[in-house]
Amino acid sequence: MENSSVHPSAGPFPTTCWSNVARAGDPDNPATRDGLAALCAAYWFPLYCFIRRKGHNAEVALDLTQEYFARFLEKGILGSADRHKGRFRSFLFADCNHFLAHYHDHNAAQKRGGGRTPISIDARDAEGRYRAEPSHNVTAEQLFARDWALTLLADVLNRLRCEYEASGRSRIFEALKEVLSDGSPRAPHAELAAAIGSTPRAVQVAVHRLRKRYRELIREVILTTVADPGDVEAEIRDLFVALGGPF
Amino acid sequence: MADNHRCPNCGAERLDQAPEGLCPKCLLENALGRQTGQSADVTFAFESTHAGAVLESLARSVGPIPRILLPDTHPDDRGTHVVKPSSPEMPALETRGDRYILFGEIARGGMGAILKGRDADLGRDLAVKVLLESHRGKPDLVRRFVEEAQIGGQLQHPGIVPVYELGTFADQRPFFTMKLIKGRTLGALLNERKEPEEGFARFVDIFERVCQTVAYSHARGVIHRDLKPANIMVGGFGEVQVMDWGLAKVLKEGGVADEPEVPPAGSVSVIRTVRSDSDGDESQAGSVLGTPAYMAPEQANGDIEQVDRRADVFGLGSVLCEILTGQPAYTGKTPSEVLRKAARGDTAEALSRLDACHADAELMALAKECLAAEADQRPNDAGIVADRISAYRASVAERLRAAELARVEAQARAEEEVKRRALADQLTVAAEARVKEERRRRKLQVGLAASLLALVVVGGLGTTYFVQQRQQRSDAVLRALTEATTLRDQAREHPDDPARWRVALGTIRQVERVLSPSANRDAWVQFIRLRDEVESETATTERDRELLERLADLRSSGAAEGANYAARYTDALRRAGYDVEGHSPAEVGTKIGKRPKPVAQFIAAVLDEAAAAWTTFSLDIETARARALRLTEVAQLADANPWRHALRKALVQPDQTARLAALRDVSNRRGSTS
Repeated sequence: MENSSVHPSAGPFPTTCWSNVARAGDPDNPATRDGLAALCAAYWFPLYCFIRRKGHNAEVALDLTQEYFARFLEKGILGSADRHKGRFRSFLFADCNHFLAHYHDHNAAQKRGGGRTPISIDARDAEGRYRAEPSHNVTAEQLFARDWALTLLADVLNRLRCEYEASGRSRIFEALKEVLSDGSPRAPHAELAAAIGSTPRAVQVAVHRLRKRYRELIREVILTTVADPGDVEAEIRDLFVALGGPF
Repeated sequence: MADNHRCPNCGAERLDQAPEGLCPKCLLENALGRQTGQSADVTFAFESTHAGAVLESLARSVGPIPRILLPDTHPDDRGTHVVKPSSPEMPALETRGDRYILFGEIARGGMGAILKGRDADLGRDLAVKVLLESHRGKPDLVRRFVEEAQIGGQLQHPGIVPVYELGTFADQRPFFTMKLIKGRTLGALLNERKEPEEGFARFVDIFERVCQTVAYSHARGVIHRDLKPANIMVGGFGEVQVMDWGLAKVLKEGGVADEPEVPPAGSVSVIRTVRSDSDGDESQAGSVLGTPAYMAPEQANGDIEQVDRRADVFGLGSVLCEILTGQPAYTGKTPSEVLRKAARGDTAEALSRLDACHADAELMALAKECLAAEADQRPNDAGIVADRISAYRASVAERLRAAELARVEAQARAEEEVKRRALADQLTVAAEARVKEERRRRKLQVGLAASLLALVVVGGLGTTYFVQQRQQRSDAVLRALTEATTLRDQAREHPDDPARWRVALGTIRQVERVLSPSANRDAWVQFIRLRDEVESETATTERDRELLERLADLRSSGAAEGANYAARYTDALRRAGYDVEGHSPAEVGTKIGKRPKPVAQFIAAVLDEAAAAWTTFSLDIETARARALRLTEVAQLADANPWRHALRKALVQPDQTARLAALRDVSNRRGSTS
């Protein structure tokens, strides 16, 4: 899959932390607002899938996703004191669930303000990816977490690839990326060394560096979605569990 | 790669959307596993304790382990919606332990919060009740919390939420896990009704099951003390569960506080907790626990020592009152007003409401008894209430059955009456038809079948109303019957004409093909009998005709052949079923006598000739004579004509003189009679 299609919302990954946003909570503060918008842009897809699974068709689901984010960005997270803690993922799931439950009440308003597009979504891409999703017998919450994990991993890997490309090492990334999922490179170091025109020792070092950077990046990215930095490990575990289902 | 669809590392199925084509699961595991730079041994130790670790470690030794997650088909999980995704009651991650994943808060009570969680290893959703953060370290509340878990853990009944496990989080707060109940509370269901009569039978059914559940807990020495619709969960598949045993009290063995009571059943053990073994109740005398609108006076007064099973009976009474009248025992504008009423046992308003409701008297009486202000006026425990409700429901079922029976009987009588009238009409029609047929009988033959068919078909097609249709079909059967009877009678009048029988039989067969036995059963049966009769008579007539033809041939051709000629006669008769020499003369004679008169006479004449031939031509006088006697005897029985009787008698006279005298006498008689 092309990177560009994986990331319709191309651009730097949000650097604003959910913890900061949650703490500030003021929708009129441009920094808070931008931070939220960036977070939303990064994680619109799991939300879109979630709304689709609620039985809305593609078009309506897109509108609803936009509508939800529009409202969310307008009102911020004020008035939901209980939600100040916790993770962005859990918050978004519960909040959007609530939004959908009350969607009918505001249906008219939605139509009136239907043109709002606070974040950029590639509509064709959305449906294409949604259709590629297997259909499951697992709960919406599980699927949401799973989509979230996939989106997050795609972002992390994309950033990693961009970094390697920027420094002219895209061949190394291509050759070695499998070590990020496998415990060890599938091909012997010597073979890899030959492939990228290097020595086995250099390959060993490169593998180590790639892994290290990957772990740093995934933590950076997850850090933006949790209120407490201590939650990062637990979030990784929970996402791991979410992926562990019978997919 | 052996299998392109699976990750070679962990065995998980590959996803189309896998980032960079890499296994997302392994990516996350790698992100976790070596982040701290720990050695492989340490990593393994870590993995063995994180959520889902049992399966992961098993997978390491035996390869991919399935993770079964059954589809969630529950039609109604409104009871389990997380209301606070990040509840303050959720322990911090590092203190949570690794087995349960927590999703947020479902509900909250005075003592604990119910969180929605999942057992990562079993893939089972469950409810986790945790002591409120604010109560951490309060010994009495911790004790009460543990007791609730113990009581719930030991009460094992389909109506009681099972407790799976009691544990503590690392922050020292106790928690216990329970089955996650999906459904709606009885309170919510009752509030949805527009009027108390709505869904009445269903609510009585739910109430019966609540009573049975509470009866079980009473039998085990536990009183609930907070029975109310909000604590009764009704699942989407009809399951009913009594929840929140947080106020439950274990009665001291031996019974209630104020009077001795026989233990419910010898085999039922009484639940033991620290509290029931310790001296006295931990609840402070004078403190009020429970929900006033459903509370017995002794409980509302904080009279802890007096609270026993009958307090629960009052609670059940109040729930029943709400089912019947839409409101619990006590109502009021403010909670304190309700509590005041409860303390006074002021149920006057509830009783008048009960009197005004339209429920059956048994139910009203039961509710009133349960709501008695004095505990000893109430049924002794929930078992009695359950029995009364069961008896009531049985009586309702019996009444319904009786009413249904009466209805069916009335219907059957009405149908019988309709049938009787229809039959009377049919008979009239048949009689009329017979008269008409009498007039038409001579011109009937050829067109009959066609006209009958037309009648039947027109009768079948021409009507829409089924009774009419049946009636007409029934008429057609009767008409056909009449026609066939007429034909048979005609055929009988011309026994020498088998053609008439053949016409009759052909007509009957044609009609038979288009008639339905359902139209008029009796007539149909009659018709079939008639058909069989005509069939057999046709066959017999046919046989007779053949016989007569044969005999006539013999007569005209072989008169000169003497005894041989007689033997041929008897042979032809034997072949037609009249074995003159084999059977007794009486049998054969009677049989021939039953044939139509001309046939019988003809055969008798042949027999007479044969007898004469024997006596005339036979050389062996004695044998010939015996044979002639036998044939004459048969002929006498076959032909009842008095003159011929006398003639035969005369002919067989052994003495010639006597024979001549007799013949003369017969000849004279003929002259005088004819």
